Parts: sequence; structure tokens; C-alpha cells
Amino acid sequence: MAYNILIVDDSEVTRNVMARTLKMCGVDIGEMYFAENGKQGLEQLDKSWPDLVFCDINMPVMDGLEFVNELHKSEEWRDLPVVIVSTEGSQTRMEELRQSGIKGYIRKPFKAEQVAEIIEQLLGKDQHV
Amino acid sequence: MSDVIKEALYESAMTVFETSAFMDVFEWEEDSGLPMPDIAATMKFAGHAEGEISLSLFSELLDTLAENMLGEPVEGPNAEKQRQDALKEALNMVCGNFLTSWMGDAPVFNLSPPEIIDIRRVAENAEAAGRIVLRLNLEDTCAELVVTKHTK
Repeated sequence: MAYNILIVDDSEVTRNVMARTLKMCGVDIGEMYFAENGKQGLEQLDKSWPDLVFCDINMPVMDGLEFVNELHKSEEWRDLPVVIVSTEGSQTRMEELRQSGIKGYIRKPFKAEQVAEIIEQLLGKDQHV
Repeated sequence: MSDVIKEALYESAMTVFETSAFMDVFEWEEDSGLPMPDIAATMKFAGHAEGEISLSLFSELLDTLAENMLGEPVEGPNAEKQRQDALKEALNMVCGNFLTSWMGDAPVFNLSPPEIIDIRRVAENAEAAGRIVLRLNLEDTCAELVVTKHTK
């Protein structure tokens, strides 16, 4: 069984870089869904079944933290793991993110092995190809 | 102080271009005759320190930058947007890495979205007092990073 991934980022380049990295990270990836902001991410959840979300923080319309707060209000999606993908390296910000329920954090620029590691950490490695 | 900032900029640029675009960064040599930047992006940072950072590149390098970041040819009606998006994303990553390298990992910064600006605005900024300018050799073209610190 492969993992379905939702990528939420307002940068098309970042969405594509993450998609390419997922394809080459050694984890069995099934469907990939894309959204340009948190609002689109919530809309995408109405029509898809992701196992994990990679999400930017700073986005127009609805940012990453608002998106996570909305997920936590949902019976269906409150346990969906969200990994923040950002350029920020502040430990203070990371602690804030952890307290708000974020399950993981990847700092840009990232490598395929970092992406694989966080997927294994959150979803397990027993389903790998 | 300017040497510390230049070193932080250089390390950040190396990390970003080598990791995300497989491009080599070298120190700049004056009179090298390399193509000069003609397109720029800028973004603001606020928090422990406030200011602006810009990245200027030789526009023909954007094809390679975008293609290396995306892993596919950049062509078609969306190509110019992808090239500009690649420049903005490279700046975004350099900025985030630079601020941590410069200020440490405790402060939280708010970053504005990167935007493409007129290259002449960067030149004006670079000539003003208090700006730190770092030129790099990026794939045998000149890349320029300018940091402007605003007074709170």
C-alpha cells in the first residue's frame, strides 16, 4: 500500500520540487494532491484521502497554522499528520508549531533522505517498496 | 560586522544553490568579465532585526535554475512564471538560512513574500550607505546578494 500525500504551498516551484523529491525518496508514494493555500487544502480534503500533509507556513488566503487549526476542529481530519516545510530555522517557532499540534518540520532546502525519514517517523516504514 | 554578514550570506547561498539546484557557488573575482545580473527579487524580514534582502541573477541563468529545481524542462506558456518563481524561491531559502546563520536559532522572523523588482532599485540600494553587498560566481555568471538593515 502506498502513501497519499497532500502538498500545500503557494509556490508552484516548491510544490513541484516536493513532488519530485517524494518520487525519488524511496518511499512508496501513491496519489499526490496539490493546493496553493490552506483554504484550497481544506477543499482538497473533501475529495481526497491523504495520509500526510506537507504544508508551507506563509501563504495568502489561509496560512499553514490556520490550516492546521481548522484540521483540529474536524472529526475526520484532526489526526492527519502535518509536516511544515519552511525556510525558517527558529527553535522558538518550532516549539510554537509543536505546541499547535504540528507533527514534523522540514527546513528548505531539503534532501530526499530527510523527506523519507520524516515519512517513516510519522507513518512507519513497513509499507515501503 | 560586515564580514560576519557576508560569511553568513555566502554559506546560505552555497547551501541553497548546491542543495536545491545542483549549482556551484564560488567567490567573486573582480574584472572576471562574467555576465552581470539583470533580474532581481527582494523580500523583507522583521523581528529581532528588520531589513530587506535581494538576490540578483543573470536572467539566462534562470532557465538552468528553474530546470534544476523542477527536474524538468522549463517551456511553454508558463515558462516565464516558473523562472521567476524559481528566483523568488531561491531568495526565500537564502533569506531563511541567512537569518538563522546571522542571528542564531532563537529569534522568530516574519518574512514578506518575495517579489520581482526592477534591477535598478537594487543598484540604488547597493550604492547607499549601510548596505552589505556580496557578489558571487554562480555557474560562471555574477550573482549579487544585498542586505539592507532598517533602523527600528
